[in-house]
Amino acid sequence: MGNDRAAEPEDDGLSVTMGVPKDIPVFPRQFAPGAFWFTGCLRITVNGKELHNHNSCFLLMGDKRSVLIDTAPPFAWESMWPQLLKALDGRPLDYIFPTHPEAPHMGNLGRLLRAFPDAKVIGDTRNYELYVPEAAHRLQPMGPGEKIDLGGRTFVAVPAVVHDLVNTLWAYEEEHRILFVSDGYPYTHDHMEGECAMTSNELAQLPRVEDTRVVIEGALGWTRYVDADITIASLRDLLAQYPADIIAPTHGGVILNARELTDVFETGLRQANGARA
Amino acid sequence: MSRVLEIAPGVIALSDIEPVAGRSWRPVGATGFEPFNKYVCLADEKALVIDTGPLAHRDQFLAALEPVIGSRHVTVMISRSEPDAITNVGAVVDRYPDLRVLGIMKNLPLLGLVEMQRKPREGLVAERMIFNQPLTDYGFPLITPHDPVIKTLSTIWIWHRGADVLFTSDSFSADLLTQADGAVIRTQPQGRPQPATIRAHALAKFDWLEHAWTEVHARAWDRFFEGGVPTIIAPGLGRIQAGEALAAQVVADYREALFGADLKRN
Repeated sequence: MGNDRAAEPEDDGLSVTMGVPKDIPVFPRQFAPGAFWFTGCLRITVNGKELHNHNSCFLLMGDKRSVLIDTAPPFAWESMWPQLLKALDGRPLDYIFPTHPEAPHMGNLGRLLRAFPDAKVIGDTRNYELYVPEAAHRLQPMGPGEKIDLGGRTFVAVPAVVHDLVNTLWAYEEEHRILFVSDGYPYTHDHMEGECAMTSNELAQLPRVEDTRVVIEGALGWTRYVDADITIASLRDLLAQYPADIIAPTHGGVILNARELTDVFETGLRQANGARA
Repeated sequence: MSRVLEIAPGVIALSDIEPVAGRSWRPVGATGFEPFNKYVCLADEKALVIDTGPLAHRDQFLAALEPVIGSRHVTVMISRSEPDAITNVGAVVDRYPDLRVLGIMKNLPLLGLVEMQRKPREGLVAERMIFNQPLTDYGFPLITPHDPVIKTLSTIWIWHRGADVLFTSDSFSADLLTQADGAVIRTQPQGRPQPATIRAHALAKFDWLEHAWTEVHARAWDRFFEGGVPTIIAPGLGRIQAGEALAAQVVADYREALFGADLKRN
């Protein structure tokens, strides 16, 4: 499934293989044991340049339960649905965790709830009876710090220190130190066939600060007006509490070189301050 | 069926009322009832639908919309890219297949963000509106989308110059109902939310404002309203403010709430 050679983290969680893998990785991609990545990629043109924008979702499979983090947008349903079924391998989906109520993150929630009639919606579900009224009884609110035992792995809802909508939550998996960051750590990149399922360390070129601009200037436009030091301090506090070896953004490839991409993201936030006008 | 209210000649509000308690965009402890407003602007043979509501309101919204629109040709536009505004675009497309769709997002295809029961007609795409450019091509030369002073996601304010109505999406939304059957349209200043309450509601939605440098926004605010205040302020959430004096007072209240009482006009 995918390319496990480059995706499997080393034991110390710090060193990863850099460079383009020999075999082109495909979705669904397993990036840690029982952790799968799907995407609804979108080609976008920014300033005349074609870029590739991930709209990803992630499946965590425990021994007892499974959770899908984000749902991909409706336009990606045709591609993500068979990927999800393949990764589930006959097991049901038990939980769906939309990080926040925006189409790229929860747009397929209704379809998923119809497909998995026992699945529960977890997270900040305060408004969701308006969005999936037929499943209002299947909403299971979770606040920051609350945990679910998936069997052999623990899923934790954590504060979304960088977000667009205020009711966003991030998530953390304790055993493999995976942080799911929704709109955080975004990067688009010059589109090249075959790059879609590559992790950040496998790209021919390390994601650059300018690659973060599409999302930072769009969904995270407020970062122009808030001192980046405040945001970065919150991010560092979170990373101290929930240290991450793997970072899974919705709008970027899975990050295995977390330290380097944290620098890129922080620099992107600082540069956003410079765009204040 | 949604409540149907004519707020100005040829401008109809379709409102659905929900309890406030526990909504993520309201301050902790807020109570009362919240109007979810969609709007229709009418011309002779055209109807412009602004926002479509969340899925929970779909059936009553469509039921109220049909007699308002009649046989007019429909354009649907959204004021922001959140489920409260976009979710029922799919249902409107299903119901009015010959319609036009106007979006604002730069990098996401609006029609790809909503579920549709039927395949839309060949070639239907969401056209992208441009700030400050009147919707002349759609039959509404007096209606113009504007870049909001305060926003998080892709959002527009829409000014109907002919009816003197400003549609403000998720801004100007702090005025709530105490009873579910209360009047959605406020016409008197007595009992309106005060700046401290307005600020609490604003921070519950735009939490980044708490730490923001807002001098840029204050300047933009003053520029936006320097030509005058509209007679009617029509938010997507919350009560509608109608009347010249009331609307002017409400704009002043929001300025104080967002930027402080001591901030001089720019």
